[in-house]
Amino acid sequence: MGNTSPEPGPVSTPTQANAWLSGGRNPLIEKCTNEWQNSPQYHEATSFESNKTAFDAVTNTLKRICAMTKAPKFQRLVFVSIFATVVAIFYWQYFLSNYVAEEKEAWDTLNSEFGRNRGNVYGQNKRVQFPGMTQLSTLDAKYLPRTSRASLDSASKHRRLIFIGDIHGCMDELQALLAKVEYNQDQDHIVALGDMINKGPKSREVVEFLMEHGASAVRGNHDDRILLVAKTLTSTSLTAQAEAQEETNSGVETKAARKTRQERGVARSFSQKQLDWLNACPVILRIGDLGPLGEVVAVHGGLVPGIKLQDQDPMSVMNMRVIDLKTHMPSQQHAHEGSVPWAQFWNKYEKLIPAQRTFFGFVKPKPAIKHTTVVYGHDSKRGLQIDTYTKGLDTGCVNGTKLTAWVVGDMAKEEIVQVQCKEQRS
Amino acid sequence: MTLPSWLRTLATFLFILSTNLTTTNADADFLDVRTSLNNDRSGKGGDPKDKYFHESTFHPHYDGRFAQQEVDKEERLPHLTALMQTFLSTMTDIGAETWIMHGTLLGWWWNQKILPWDSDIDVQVSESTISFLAKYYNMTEFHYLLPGVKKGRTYLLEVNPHYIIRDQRDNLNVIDARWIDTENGLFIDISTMRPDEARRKEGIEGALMVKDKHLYLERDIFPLRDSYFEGIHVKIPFEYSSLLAEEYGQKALTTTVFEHHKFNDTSKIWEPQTGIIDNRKRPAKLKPAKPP
Repeated sequence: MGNTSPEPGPVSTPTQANAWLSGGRNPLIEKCTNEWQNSPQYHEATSFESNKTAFDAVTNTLKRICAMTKAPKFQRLVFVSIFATVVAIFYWQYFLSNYVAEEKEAWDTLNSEFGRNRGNVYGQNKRVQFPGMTQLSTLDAKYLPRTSRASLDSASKHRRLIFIGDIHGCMDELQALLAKVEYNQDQDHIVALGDMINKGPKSREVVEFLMEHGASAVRGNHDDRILLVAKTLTSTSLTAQAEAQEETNSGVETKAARKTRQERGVARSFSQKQLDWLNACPVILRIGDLGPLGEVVAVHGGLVPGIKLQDQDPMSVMNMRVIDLKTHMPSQQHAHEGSVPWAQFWNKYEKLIPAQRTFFGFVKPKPAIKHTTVVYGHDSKRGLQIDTYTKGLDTGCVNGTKLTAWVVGDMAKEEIVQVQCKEQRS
Repeated sequence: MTLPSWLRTLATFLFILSTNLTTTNADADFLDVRTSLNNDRSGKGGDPKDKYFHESTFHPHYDGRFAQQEVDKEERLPHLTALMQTFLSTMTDIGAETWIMHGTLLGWWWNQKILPWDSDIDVQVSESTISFLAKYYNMTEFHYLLPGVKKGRTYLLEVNPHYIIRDQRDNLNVIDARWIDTENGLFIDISTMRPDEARRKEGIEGALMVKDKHLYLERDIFPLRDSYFEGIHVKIPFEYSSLLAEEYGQKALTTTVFEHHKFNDTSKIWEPQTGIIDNRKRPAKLKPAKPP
């Protein structure tokens, strides 16, 4: 295109400017041709605009989408979405689904107490009966610390409850612990959480001490076993006599035989009075109302939520560590497929009670919100486990770690006191 | 005149030989023990020679020497209950310690009664107990006066001479003794809990076994617990909970509907489910006939 415009110079009048802009002779616009409309490239680019048939419409949409996906912004979006989905899946798999399952199970358990279908859960059987074994006892109210200002002001002395985890015959450590809490027999009451005997050196002394001081105790799995062993020693049955014979005849001693011999030794060391005291220890000891702590219950192993105290299986109460989420079946194993630590489930259950009462209080009159706190021992592997509604106090004293006491005073004043132990497993 | 020593030895040897031969071949034949029946329904003919106990030809849980046919369905459970009660009572009187296992233990766990669909009762004894029973109480009969039973009922305690064989390969004689109701042929199988020498050699301490191939540990069974079953004192293995969970799974301890029975939460009894609903259309109700 030849450009015969005059030399650009100073502009003086509008017409002159127009003349310059338009190249002197013709407006530039006239130089524009519409040949581009006929070029094949243009046809390609805009062919998706023509929707003559349905097929065309589909292909046009597809082409649009393809064009879109080629865009880097879209690709970024897709990538981020995929990444987020993967992360969400992992999070669900490892954390959230368990949390949801526990919450749901606790909720269902709460609802089942109001007559809703219980389904196939553990604890519907008629509780097994063992003659001579006390299932449930209540602590004498005279030992309960005060929970209201009024009763405290009018009281003459303070009261404390001292809950002690598995003692296992560690008499010296028990004395040290009681000295540390400044134990005063007039004001304080000891509650031993089972397994007072066996494994440690001074089982008989521990029982003697607890009896002398009028302490309360619950039945632990070791206490239970030693009591049964003591019974077999005096039994006249043939099996028992054969076992006794085997004991005297044994040459090389296996680990199991040594354990049996040790158990028999411990069983023999007690007087009949001491054995009777041990036998009278209930499986579950109801402490009473301790204000903000709710109803406090002492057991050795644990409790299954949703089952009345009277109906809890005694062996499970003395031994449980985990509970199956689906079936509510307790187990003494430390970990189990589909199980959670029973205390964890118990806390979840207790924490959901207020919500449950609000949403499902279809029982009229609405039952009051009453919490139950369980104080227990037995699980030395997990050690000290203080949670809102469960207090695990077995810190493995006999293994050489610590002996723990949970001290509850007036107005539910709590304190954890511990002493160091020396290892003395026999 | 004293016999020469060689003759004495020979006589003793022959005596021992003869007693051994006769005891292993001894069998409580129908003709030896029959009460009022004329026909022997024991499956003795079809059983291998070494098998001692013979189940009846009409049902594996009946003794054919004392029964011609099964008892009525409604009567089975009371008969089994009486069987259990008389057995436990006798063992207590004798001083023989026995404990319940398997299905019977599961029934005890649920409501201290026999499970209504359970076809047999399982009890176990220790080796010293079975030897004692074999020596002094084999083929003894006990007569019990039971409520609702005119003239009472007689029960027979029979011990399998193969009880001395510990080997699990002796699968024809897995049951070591039976408590048999001589009126209707029902019985309780008594097995012996024996030390498992093979597993003990491998280092598994306190390994126990029964000839029916079940394996246990001493710490799970002993010391035994005292409890009640069908109103009579009974012994229970120590770790009853874990034993049941291991043998039957968690479902057996939690499912409340089983074998056409439902566990009633209030009465704590397994009630038979009445009227299993079928989905076929019911026939139209018959209209009353119009008066002529």
